[in-house]
Amino acid sequence: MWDQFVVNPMLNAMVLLYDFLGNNLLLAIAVFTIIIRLVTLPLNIRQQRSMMKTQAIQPQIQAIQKKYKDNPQKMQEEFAKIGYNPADTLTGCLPMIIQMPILFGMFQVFRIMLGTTPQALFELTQRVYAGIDLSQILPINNQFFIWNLGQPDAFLILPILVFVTMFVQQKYASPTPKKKGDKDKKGQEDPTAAMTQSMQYTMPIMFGFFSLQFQAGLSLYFIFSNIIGILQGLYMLRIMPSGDEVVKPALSVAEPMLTEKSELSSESNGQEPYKAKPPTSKRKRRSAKR
Amino acid sequence: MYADKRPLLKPIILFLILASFVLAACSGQVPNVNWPGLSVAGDVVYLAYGTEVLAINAATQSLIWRFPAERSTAQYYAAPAVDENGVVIGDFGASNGMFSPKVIVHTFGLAEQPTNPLTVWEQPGLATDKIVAPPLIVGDRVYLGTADNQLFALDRATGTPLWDAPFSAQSAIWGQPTYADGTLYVASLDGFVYAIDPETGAENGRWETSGAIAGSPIVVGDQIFVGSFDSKLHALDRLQFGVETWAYPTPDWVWGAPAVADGVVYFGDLKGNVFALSAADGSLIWQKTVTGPVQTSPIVAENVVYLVSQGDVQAKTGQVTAFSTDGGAQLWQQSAPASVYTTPVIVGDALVVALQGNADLLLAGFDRASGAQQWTFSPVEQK
Repeated sequence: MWDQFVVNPMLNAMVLLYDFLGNNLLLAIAVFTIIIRLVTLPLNIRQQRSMMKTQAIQPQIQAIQKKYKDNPQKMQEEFAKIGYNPADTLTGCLPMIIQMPILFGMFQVFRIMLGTTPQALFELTQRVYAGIDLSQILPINNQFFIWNLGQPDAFLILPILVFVTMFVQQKYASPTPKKKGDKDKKGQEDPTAAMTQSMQYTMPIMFGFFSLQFQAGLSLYFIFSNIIGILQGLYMLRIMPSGDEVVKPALSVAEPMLTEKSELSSESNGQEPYKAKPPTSKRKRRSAKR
Repeated sequence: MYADKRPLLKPIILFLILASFVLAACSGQVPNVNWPGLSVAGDVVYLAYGTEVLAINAATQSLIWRFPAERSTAQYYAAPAVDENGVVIGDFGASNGMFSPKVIVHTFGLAEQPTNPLTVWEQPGLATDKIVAPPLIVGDRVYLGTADNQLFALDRATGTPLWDAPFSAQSAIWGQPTYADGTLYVASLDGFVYAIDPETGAENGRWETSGAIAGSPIVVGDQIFVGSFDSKLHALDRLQFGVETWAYPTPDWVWGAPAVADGVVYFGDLKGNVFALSAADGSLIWQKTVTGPVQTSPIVAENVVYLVSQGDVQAKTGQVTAFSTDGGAQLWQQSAPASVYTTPVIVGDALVVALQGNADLLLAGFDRASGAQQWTFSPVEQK
């Protein structure tokens, strides 16, 4: 099942791209990364939108949690009033979960395609679909500039690039949280901010380490993927309305409660009470409704 | 609380990924990345598989020695070269740890002893990529093809490179070079068969097929036989190098080197066809089929052709078949106790096959006459 539905389609796509793109492995990896990113784009946008929205109404969420910690039903009702569905946080993680098989599949694809062992090549012959003439594209040229894409990067350049690009991507993909050390009036750290910020370092370090061990071709995939992620993040920042605008319609429902209990927001984070701005365009209003 | 679910879920997923990698790396089991290499000298078979090279007395099924004495991350899959002075082996290369990912490939000259072999010489860093091809010992020289497209000549006694510069092909060399009448012949995945001066490493000629060549060129008399991924077996004129005598088209790639005996060329293809052709003109003498692709070379002895094929993929059992050279009648066929992807060797009355995919079984011996499985060799029992 795993091979049939994940590894083999990806492997065949890579082989076809390599063939169509003049036996240029670098181009094949780049185009393949773009395709993978396009396939997961709707989910990524949904995730990013969900993160931005949740981040914007975080003070209200925390305030409601604190106020109704002994009354889950009431908490749910109040969440509904500000347009927050806790289940959305799990849905927001869906792209990440879906991308896991792609990531694991990519490990296998590169092992088979760039493995440069007789066993890997033999495995490749048994996985390619009928109609693909492997004999015309072999041997696969795995040399790019100074790198043998079938081996770990001995020059450490690609692992560093993986770290840097992933760090930048994390910065753009996640809404800017308060600093990790920031505390509310009661001296408590914002756990979401702390976690988001730790993720911004954990992920790049982890993938940088992986890149020290795995084929340089896989590092290139990470780098291309990160660059596309950065561009996507920048684009999302441009088209997404500000956090205030996102939550405005939802908060307007909860506003009476929040106004009545204005201490919820002001006490919880030390910020000024919420003042919503009206959406400025049709598109933003549509986004806000979503 | 609800708002905490997202921040908790991500670290958990990350932890699981990290843990899986750490566990994979620290479990002590380095996954095998290729099929075993097998060679023979007398009753002793030499098996290069994973992190060890083993010398095993096939007559008594007892372990003679293992190399290296202490396991490292280096892996060995090229069939060891053996002569009266000992064994020459090359590895797939290993890095010096997480922060030094540069892969260093080693070649070793070992002198055999009753217990662990003595390392006479060690040549690190000759190549930057794996040694897949079995080394070739000719007199006081060792010829070594590498996956980074190079061919080296080393001093048999010291391991010192003898040529000013290695010969460079355009792609990896996976097949053992062949020596005949003062010329080295080597094939490469670039599709060329090269004729090389063994004294200097200079190229004397090249001939191109339209597919990659993974096996060795076989020289018999004035002919060179080579199988190619262009789905043909080619016969070249050795004296007029570059002139093709004939080519026989096959339904699929010809991976393994052919075997030649009594004017007949035997080989298999990846569709599981087995062919016997006239060496003189390439005409078909007989054709048979076996289960699964054939990427190994046949072994011919006493009018019998022995051949292994992939067999049952689901059951992971390779197939061992014996054909009569006379007409290709099938003499026997057996399932191996595990997968078989390595050309077998003959030790006395036994056909010895290297097994893959079962850590408890490395070798199996089949009676050459009846095909009955006589023994298996388990490294666990020998510890």
